[in-house]
Amino acid sequence: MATLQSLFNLTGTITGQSDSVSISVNPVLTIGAPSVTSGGITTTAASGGTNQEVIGTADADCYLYVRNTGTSGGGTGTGQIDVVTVDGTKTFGNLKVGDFGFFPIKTGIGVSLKYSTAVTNVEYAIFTRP
Amino acid sequence: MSQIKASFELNGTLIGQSDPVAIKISEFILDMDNPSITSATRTLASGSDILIPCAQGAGVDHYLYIRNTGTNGAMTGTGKIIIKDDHPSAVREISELEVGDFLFIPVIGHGTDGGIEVFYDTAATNYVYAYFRRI
Repeated sequence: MATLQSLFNLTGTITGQSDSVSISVNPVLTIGAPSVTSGGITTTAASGGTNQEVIGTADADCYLYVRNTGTSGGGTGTGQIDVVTVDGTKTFGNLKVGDFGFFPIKTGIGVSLKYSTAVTNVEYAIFTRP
Repeated sequence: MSQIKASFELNGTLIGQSDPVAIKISEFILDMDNPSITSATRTLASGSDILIPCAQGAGVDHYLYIRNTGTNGAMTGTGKIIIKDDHPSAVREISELEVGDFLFIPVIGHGTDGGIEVFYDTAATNYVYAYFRRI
């Protein structure tokens, strides 16, 4: 068993709202095995976009981090990334260049990353929850 | 249009791996507009709450933040939260938040699905959420 220190901040002001955005959390996450501490792929445009599986349906509950590392994230890609259930029935997330997401995935769902609009680069990490 | 800054870090060492985890994103700027909710608190004792209705339409994407603020998050709840998409005929599970867990995800809007609904699991809990329309 291992632990990871997380930190997430959102700060700023939304036009027309009196209260500023000031979200800050830093929970310690308990992590089991197996995990992928750093992975990279390039999305594939073939046939309108290939689903590239990163979490299988048989995998245990886990935390998924994914970032579109295209032109404003250190890579060269300009496309978006669709985040799809591994059976292909549900596209629930979409990352523009530079966008990132961090979310727990429940076992049995599985996640694929898919080309959208143009090829881009992806960084991801997966940490199993014990 | 408005802008907010997002930062994210994960740091630590996993047993048996030589490379440490060192993910760091500093003050990445997110472009957004209203309608947005900068902070909201709810208690989930049964049933479900719709956070982002699918009726907001195709192409209306949001950055979504949710945290289970039960006993490890300064409140009293002990249950999990099940996150599902708000499809009118076939709601599907996406994620699960234990007490203290949080998520941040750009949610895609399809028009007929793609909204977000949170469901009670085995015990009541509390959560905070915010969402921002992405442009």
